[in-house]
Amino acid sequence: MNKTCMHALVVLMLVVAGILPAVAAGSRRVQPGDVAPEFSVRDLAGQTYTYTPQGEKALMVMFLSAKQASSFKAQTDLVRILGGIQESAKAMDVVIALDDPNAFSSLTRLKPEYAGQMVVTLDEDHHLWGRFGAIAMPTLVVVNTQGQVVGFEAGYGYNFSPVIHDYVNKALGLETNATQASLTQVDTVSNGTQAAKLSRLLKAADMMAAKGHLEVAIVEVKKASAMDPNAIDIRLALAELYCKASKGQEALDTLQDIKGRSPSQNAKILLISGWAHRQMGHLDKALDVLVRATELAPRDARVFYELGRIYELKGLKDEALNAYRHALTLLF
Amino acid sequence: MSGVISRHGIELGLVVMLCVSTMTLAVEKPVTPQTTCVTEECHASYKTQAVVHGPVSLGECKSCHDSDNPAEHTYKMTREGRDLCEYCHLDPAAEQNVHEPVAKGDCLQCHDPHSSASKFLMRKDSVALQCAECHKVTEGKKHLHGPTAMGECSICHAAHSSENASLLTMKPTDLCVACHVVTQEEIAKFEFVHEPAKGDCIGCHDPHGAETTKMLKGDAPDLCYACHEAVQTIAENSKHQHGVVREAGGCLKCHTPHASTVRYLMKDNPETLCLNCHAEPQAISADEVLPSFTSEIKDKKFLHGPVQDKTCSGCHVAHGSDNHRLLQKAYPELFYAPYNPENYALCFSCHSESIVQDAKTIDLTGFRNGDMNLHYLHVNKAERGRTCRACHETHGSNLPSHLREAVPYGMWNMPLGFTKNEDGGSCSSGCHMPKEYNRIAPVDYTSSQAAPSGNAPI
Repeated sequence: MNKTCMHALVVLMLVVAGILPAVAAGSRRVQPGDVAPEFSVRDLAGQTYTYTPQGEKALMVMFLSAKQASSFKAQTDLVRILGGIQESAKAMDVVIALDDPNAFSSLTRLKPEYAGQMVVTLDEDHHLWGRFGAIAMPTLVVVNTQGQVVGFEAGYGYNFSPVIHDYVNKALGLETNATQASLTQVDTVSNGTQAAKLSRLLKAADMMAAKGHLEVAIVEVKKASAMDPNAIDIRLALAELYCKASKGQEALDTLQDIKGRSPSQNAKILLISGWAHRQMGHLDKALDVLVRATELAPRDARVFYELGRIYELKGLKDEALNAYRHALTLLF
Repeated sequence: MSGVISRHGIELGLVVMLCVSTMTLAVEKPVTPQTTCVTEECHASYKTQAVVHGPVSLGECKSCHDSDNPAEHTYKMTREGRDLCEYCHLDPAAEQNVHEPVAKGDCLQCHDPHSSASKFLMRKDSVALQCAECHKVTEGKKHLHGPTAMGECSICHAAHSSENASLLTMKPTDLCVACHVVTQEEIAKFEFVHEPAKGDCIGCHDPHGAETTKMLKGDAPDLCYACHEAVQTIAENSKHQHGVVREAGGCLKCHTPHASTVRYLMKDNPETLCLNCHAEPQAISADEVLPSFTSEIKDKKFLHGPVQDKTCSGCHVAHGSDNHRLLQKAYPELFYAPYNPENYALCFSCHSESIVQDAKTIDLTGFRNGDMNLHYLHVNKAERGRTCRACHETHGSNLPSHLREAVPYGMWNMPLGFTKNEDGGSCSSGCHMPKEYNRIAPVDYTSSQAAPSGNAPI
């Protein structure tokens, strides 16, 4: 018997033994949409695991090498990804094909915690590798519960983690809002955004106001307002601070050009205007704007409290008490 | 003239008046115990400042002072050291970390015990000025942190004691994000977060101020090297260095400091970052220019995996390398090389060594004639093994498996003449006679064609 015949005989014996697929594999890589190939492997304890695409279970096959830094990076990502799918993992078997049985303790440590079935096998002879048409490691193949390949990722690309996340979500039918663009796009934290700066300025102003440092708080909010002059909420915050600092005219000036620009804020604009007018001794004007404020915000206790103060200053005791009582009713 | 007072006389009169008034106004120190010490005549200034200590305000000097010798007008304190203040001001040193003056019982270092122009009876006009007596944290700093600039040291620091180091008012992990809320919210959404950004902001930032607006403790790359020593070693000592890494701010040309959706906190996909420079030819020495990478892969149908994945770092080390072209590991530079796995360490970073070590396979590669591994046949030779680059373009080509259209051989580019079919393919290159291979129905090289291991012309 020549060497070729001997080799063919060995292959035939392996096929019969179920270690190799029934049809000798070429190097053709499985493609997304293909039906995943059937296969059987033995895990490190000698137990046989068989996958069939008709088994209604999702599948992840990963080919990893103990000798590669990129495989090590991939496995750290996989520990995080698999550790995160929790109960959904029951619907997905994971087959880890290693070239060294002692490789990747963190992945094998995950095995007892993984809610699904995790099989660690040694693929030194590359039979499973050939079955899926892998040519590089790490390679990941993810198959959905209908037995269709949803993703084939060869190598450790920069976006390995989000791509595998997406494959797993798709295979398990989990919600995903990933798009092709989002999977390739790199996002970073940008705390230099205007929103971040505004947030910092307003936070600082809050703290200063709480400490009674109203002038400092006003400076911070003015900076915020200068950054976003059209932000009505910032203007209102500034006007309110002016009132707290007994600067009624500045408060009114701050509100001057935002009146009527935001109907939802009109009540608050009137409230602060009333407060400012009271400080300046314009009680009739204050009364006028606060009565309008009560019409726009009949559930706002603060408006009725401020109205009560005007009545009190005008010597209208009964009206003042009514307004204060109404404010309390709204609060309790 | 009798009605005229001479100038000399006026001066004399003034001196006499001054002496008389001094005698009248001067108060002798009392030599008997008094009800209070703060009167219009004595220690009056204690009550004239904006903020007056409670006992002083009430005239209860005895809260703190005991008469020692009334005859000599000497007094002693009712309690010693910190106990004196803590009798009313309950244990300011209750927490683990105590401000040094408090620990020493020297409350008067910061506080005036009687009255002050500023809140909390500070000796200076503000908290910031008081702290600056000892803590010169703003000196020489161009940009100050908001609370520092506002003189509000107490936003971040407790004055007396704290459970946190540096008397911080909160845990360091919580303190910065108490204001930098947006940054915290953004970081929480990211998978890859710089370790210091998880709560050790002062690892990189000076919390009081710095020369730069970002208030960094230094500039990249030096600041980064403080932790990333291995990168510094590579960047500075590698045989082949990458210029951009050692430029001022170089690290930040590719990396983002807080968090990213991808590993290594890359600012963008590696290819985009590399193309910031390598879209154009780059002179790397006096006599060598790297071609434009953009031109190299333009319109190519088959790209090498890492190129397809836009992951240049699959093969190249951006920081520096002892291998040519900043390759991560060894890769033969020439057409021929004796087979030694160490020479192919780069390729074996992803591809199995078995592809050129197993003479026979039905799984490892499609480049086989039956089970005869043709990669093994070409590469695995003790002398004149064909290196990967003999047949494959590194980045991409218009042939499957990014095969070369022509094989470089000295000054000559020999067309490869590769065609692929369902079960195999053929080569009609200048290297050897035209040959076919077939995975399913192996070609019998012993009869119809010369054995491929035999008489290849080159």
